[in-house]
Amino acid sequence: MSNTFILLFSIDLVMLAFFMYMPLMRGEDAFFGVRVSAEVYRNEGRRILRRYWFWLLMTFIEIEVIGLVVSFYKGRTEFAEVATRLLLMPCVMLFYVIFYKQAKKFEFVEEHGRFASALRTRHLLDYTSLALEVIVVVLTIAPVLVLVYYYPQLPERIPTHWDWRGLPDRWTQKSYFAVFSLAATLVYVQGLLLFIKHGLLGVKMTLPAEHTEEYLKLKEEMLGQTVKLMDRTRVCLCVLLGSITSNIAFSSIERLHFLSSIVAVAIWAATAVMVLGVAVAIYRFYKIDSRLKAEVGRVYVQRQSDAAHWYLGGLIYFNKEDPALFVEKLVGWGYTFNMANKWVYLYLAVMIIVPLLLILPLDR
Amino acid sequence: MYIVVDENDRRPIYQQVVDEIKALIARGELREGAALPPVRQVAADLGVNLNTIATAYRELQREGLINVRHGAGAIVASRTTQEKSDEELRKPLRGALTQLVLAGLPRAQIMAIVGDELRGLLKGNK
Repeated sequence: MSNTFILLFSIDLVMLAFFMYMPLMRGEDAFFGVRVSAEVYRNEGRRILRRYWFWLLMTFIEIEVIGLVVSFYKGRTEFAEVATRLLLMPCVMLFYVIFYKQAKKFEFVEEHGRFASALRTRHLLDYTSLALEVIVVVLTIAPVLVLVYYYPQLPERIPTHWDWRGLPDRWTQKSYFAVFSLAATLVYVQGLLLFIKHGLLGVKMTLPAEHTEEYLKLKEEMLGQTVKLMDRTRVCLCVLLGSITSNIAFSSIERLHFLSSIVAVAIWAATAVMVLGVAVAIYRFYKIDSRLKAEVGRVYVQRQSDAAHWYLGGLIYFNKEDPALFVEKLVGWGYTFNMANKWVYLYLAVMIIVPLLLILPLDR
Repeated sequence: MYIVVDENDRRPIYQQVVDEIKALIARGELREGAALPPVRQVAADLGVNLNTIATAYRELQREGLINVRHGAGAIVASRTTQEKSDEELRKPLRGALTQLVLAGLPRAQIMAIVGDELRGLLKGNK
């Protein structure tokens, strides 16, 4: 059994755990994305949940076993690696939607129509640390400068991929594109994240008419933590992509070889910090939700008319009447698009077309 | 700081928004020069049409309480509305007092209510 297989198997496990926990994430406020009464949540809800868990586990075991058996006979694990990934995701999604339909029957329709809106404008500047931005700019420009400086000295065959120790294991013909595309990706990713951060600050926040102050405070804290997570990730991505980029020069020029191992350490450190950052953020999100439950009694508040516009059990939001672009996820932490907002297409274009332009020429 | 809108209230939504913001200005919570959030943000939060909030902002501007500038958003202008005649100011008060009298409240209780509300309004106001 290869290391890759174990890694991918653990990813599947995490995905399974996530899907098992998803319906419960917001308690009775969004049980499978449906608001139900506490009564239903404790009784019928538990029964629906147990059936859902049973089907998920059975499907998971089945698919992993099929993958293992096939790879055993074929003598390779590639089939298992691909097949489980392709099969598991649609299967768990399907079960989620099937059981969402069952939960939907118990939907608790809210009568009252009193809601609040905060009168505070969130400015990007208030969520920006100058020191951090300086670090990001320096770390983005530095690898480009390294490549520009050493470009004439680069050999005709330049590395494009490295193993875990930072030693090259794949090469390509030297060209401006081959050398600078990673650096371009880094600049692009930074721009994209800043763009998303800016949009995110205008996120819709519907407040309950009772306990408004407490609810607002905790939701603002949630947004603050999300933005902080993005900032941490931006720095880590700089280190990560910047290191790989400058490694093109370090690993192909003899007297710079010693820098290659430093780069390998930096890459591993940045990855570790990034993963740790996500774990810390998830823990904080969980804590904030617990406090919401304790102080306000509600984890997620929305108007009944908005609740009707979530599809696939709260996975997709499509509401033409809603001018909001970003809304808080109904299930899961973080934020998502109002897919009916036409500005979504700008984001999708930037997120899909630009990377395609950067990646496509590489395959030729 | 926030405004509350009630779908079951008889007043139209835009009027509720106007009244809520006025109350915040009167209490001194919204000070001169403070920026109001963009129309889009308030409309999304409350789940109402963009025009509803735009109308509310226009109404506030008409009364001279806020300045709406293109690109700069809405800024609280001053705590006092433009000149109104004595009679104009008294009219809504008379209406409100009539309600209280018709509700059968004794004079002392009406005075207490008026005093109470006034204290609430002037609290943040020094």
